[in-house]
Amino acid sequence: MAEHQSQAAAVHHRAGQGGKGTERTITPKQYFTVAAILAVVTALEVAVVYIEAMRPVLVPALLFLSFLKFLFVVMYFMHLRIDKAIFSVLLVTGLIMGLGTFIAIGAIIP
Amino acid sequence: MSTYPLPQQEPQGAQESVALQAPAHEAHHAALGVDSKKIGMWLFIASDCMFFGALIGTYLIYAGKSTVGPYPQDLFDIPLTTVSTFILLMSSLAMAMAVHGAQHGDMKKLKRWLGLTILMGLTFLGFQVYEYSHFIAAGLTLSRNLFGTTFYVLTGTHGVHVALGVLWLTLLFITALRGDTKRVNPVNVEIAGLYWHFVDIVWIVVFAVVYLMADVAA
Repeated sequence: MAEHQSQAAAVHHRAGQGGKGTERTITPKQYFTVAAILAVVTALEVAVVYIEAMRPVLVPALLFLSFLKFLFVVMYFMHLRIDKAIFSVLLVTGLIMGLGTFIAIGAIIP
Repeated sequence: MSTYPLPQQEPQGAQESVALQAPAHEAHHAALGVDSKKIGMWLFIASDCMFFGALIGTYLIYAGKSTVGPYPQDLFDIPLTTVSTFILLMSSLAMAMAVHGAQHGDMKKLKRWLGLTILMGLTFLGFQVYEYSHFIAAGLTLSRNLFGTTFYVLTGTHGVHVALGVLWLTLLFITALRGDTKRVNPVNVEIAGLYWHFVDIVWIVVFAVVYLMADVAA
């Protein structure tokens, strides 16, 4: 059973790399570490809102922290760190289109 | 992930593990050598980025332009929303663990973590229902002011995405409980996972832009 499971896992890892044979994977320990980072960054975001001294840099600070959380989720939970580059390309394309829509709406609504 | 070929000879006692590998005839390959269902989900995610880009853009453009109350500062309960945000973030961890279980042929792990993901998704929706009922009681309806319109449309659309995700995961969970390992294969679980994580990243942006920047936007 264990032998087969590791065989199945190896198949998955190779597949994730497009059959290159490099056995990169994300372990449960890494998932839990990322979840802990996400929790800490969320706590930081909330703390920043309540710190008066942070008010002048509130928007860039919040944008940076939420971008950090976004990166951790897409790289680890959505496997872009180990998956084929085509999926990253699709996500970045979507984000650029989303940003374009955002800007276009800003331009057309008075 | 492109393929889940069955091994030539199955080791004894590995039936459950083998069953979680999608049969060769089930694989949907595209010209790029990756599963077409997975490409389809990423394309959906890319198009949904535009959708949420439009909704978030509209919310920000009209932020602070309401002529009558209630206003965001009067209503938002940041500690409460932080708890619901934490639950949704942790549901992504549970989903990642469920996908890990599916990819390693561990049906028990898959069912346990999938069940937890559904539970956390429902809890998040419960928080949203509580928040909406509180806001409506305070006088914020969809047509009350620009804040009400843009807030409910944005968070409501996200809530519908969460509800559909919960429904999808529940169907997957029931299928797994029935032991239909042909449908509950690693590719199908991973695709459901991608959708769930996308819903999570949208909320990461909504939480920062709508809730935490409320004072600045006003």
